[in-house]
Amino acid sequence: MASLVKSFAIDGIDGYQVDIETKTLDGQPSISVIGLGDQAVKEASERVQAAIDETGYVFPKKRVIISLAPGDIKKSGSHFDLAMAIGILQQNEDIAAKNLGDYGFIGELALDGKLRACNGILPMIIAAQRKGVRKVIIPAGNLQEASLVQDMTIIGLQNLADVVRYLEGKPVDTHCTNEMKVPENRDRILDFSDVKGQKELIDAVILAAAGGHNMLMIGEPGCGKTMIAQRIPTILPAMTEEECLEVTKIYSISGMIANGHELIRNRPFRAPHHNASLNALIGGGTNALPGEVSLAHNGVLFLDELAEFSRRTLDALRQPIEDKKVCISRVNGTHTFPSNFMFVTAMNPCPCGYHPGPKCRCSDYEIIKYRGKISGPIMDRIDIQKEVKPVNYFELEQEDAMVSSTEIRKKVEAARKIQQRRYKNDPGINCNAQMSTAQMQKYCALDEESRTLLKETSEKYGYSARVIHKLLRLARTSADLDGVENIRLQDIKRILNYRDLDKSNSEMLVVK
Amino acid sequence: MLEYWIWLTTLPRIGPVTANRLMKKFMNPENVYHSSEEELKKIGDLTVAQRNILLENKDLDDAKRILEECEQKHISLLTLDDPRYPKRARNCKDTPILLYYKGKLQPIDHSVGIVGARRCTQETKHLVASLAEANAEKHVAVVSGMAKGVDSYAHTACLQAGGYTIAVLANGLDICYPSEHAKLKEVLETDGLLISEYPPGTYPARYTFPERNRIISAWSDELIVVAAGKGSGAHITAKFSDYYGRKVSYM
Repeated sequence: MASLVKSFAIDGIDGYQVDIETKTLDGQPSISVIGLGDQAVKEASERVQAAIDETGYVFPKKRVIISLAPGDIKKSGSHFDLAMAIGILQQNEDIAAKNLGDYGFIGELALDGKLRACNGILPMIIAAQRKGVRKVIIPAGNLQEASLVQDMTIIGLQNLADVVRYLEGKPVDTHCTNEMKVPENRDRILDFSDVKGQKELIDAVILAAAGGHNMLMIGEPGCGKTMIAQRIPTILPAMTEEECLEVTKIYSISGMIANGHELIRNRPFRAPHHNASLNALIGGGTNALPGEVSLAHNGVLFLDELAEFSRRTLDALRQPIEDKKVCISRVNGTHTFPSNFMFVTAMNPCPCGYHPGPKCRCSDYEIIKYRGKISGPIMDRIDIQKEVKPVNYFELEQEDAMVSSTEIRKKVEAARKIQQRRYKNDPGINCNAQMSTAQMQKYCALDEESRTLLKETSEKYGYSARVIHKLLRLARTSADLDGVENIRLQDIKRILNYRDLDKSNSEMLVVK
Repeated sequence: MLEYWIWLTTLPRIGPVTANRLMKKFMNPENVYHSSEEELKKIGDLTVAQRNILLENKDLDDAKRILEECEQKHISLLTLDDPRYPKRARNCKDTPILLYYKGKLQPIDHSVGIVGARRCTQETKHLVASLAEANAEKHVAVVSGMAKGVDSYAHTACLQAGGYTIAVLANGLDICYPSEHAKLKEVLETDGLLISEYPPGTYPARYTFPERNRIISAWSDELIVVAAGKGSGAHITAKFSDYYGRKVSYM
């Protein structure tokens, strides 16, 4: 009778169950691992043999077949080792484990039998919980992460010998989850109260955060674009439990959960350098790992120096921004990772960086060409374009500190609540930035004055319908921030200030 | 017929001044092509080397290829004997006997050249724009070199005011330099005039810019130099205008 041991694997950011069947047959001693495993899986046979030998058992001198079921899904990872070893020992009747089927086994084996921690434990434990496998044996190093999942009995052990002893009901030094010291949730050290001046920019940022609007900052080097961008996650509403879990899963499979880490509660802030490859940004590599867009899921993706990113890389951002997920096809499988992030970006106004200041000597054609590096489709997905002026350091010293992140966050959360109520019957829409044109008819009615102002400005600058829709969504958020029912003239006035790039372009002396 | 014009203007050592002299003597390049050694010896300032080049280089293949390329790329040719060749330019001793062009070739009552710095302030930009506009409104043609900065603003403002503008390039008409002027060049090809002394495929080089500048001067009744530094290209253009006896103003 073949033995069956339960284990788990990762597909995308979710786990699924893998049944490890082991059978020994008479014949020349050999070991074959089947089930579409990758190289790491194939090499498991070597590790398992060494670990079993080290633990004091004799590896069966027979033909051994290990099958990772289901047999038509590609499997990857070195964490099946433990389950395979247990399967062989069970098949060989070296151990008499009681109720083997109640347990899941995850862990890589070192050649001396020790259990090695692995990536992606969290999604696998979640899958185990879903499947009703309430007891899972894992490497002690993964205990902290695994204990984030409720209603599970997680047993963290040091080596194969301990696992065998545990299964046979013998006393063994298990690491209980309660004993682990839970580190304090370190409060963010960044805060908007650090920022002096740039009131206009901060107002724009608050609007962006409140309505989920994407934003472009245009300004010369050193005027505070990065500083302010880094603080945006501190004013976004707190993540729900589900959002925290999603983010933690993504970081788990990327191997970015350090030992002793808790559930991730702070919204991620990712700021890749403009040299980043397309795969680093979108996701990929041989093992289809999440890219920056997924590491920024439920948080902020900040691209500084937007014009320095290659056009190809920027174009690849279209799908993740539009669909809020990204599909990556690679040699070892196709995966879908979530990528719902707030897109914040900064660029210089011209090649020298100082337009429209007196230092700038770029010709208008050079400026238009420089700005043209960013394709239309990306520009289309940015709702707010704000010019950032340089600050006078010495004047600022006199000013009082600005509002703190906590106070701003309250405003943002209040506005978001209004939006949640508004869209509660509309699936897939949870903020104003996602409003469809049909919904705009309902929620963005304008009074006569507002309509006239919008019309005149649109005609003056040649705004397309698409731009006007953007402006309406922004106006809706502006009204929500003040808790008013209808969009007012002051809302329209406010948001008309958020097309700085278009306005600047229209002032260029170039042929259209 | 036109291949002889191309042949003469692409020969080494035969510059525009020599070409003009040969034209005076022989009336057209085809006659130059078929001329004998004795006839050539009669021309005073022709060196032995130049004479030999004229006599030995009889291959018309390159010229024919250039002509074909012009046809493909919709580039037209303006020869010295064409009545449309502006008189003010024809009178210059070193005027090109052959010009390649694209766009509208119109008679010009009065023309003004506007040249200047490639890097200028916003103030200068607005000054150039108003100058070009004013001339466009008076139906004065605006001539410039489609360079960065002042040139580009002069052409653009003139076009936007519905005026006639002529851009003289320091390269073949199939090449756009600088590359950010691609759209401007496109509009000039339909709504203005683009001219060049160089056959298609010729890239700009250090020497082509001063050469091109003389043509700007030759085609302008007067020249306005805006915000140009010492030793700049615009000053070279000013020197040519001076040499041709045209009025020069500085801003």
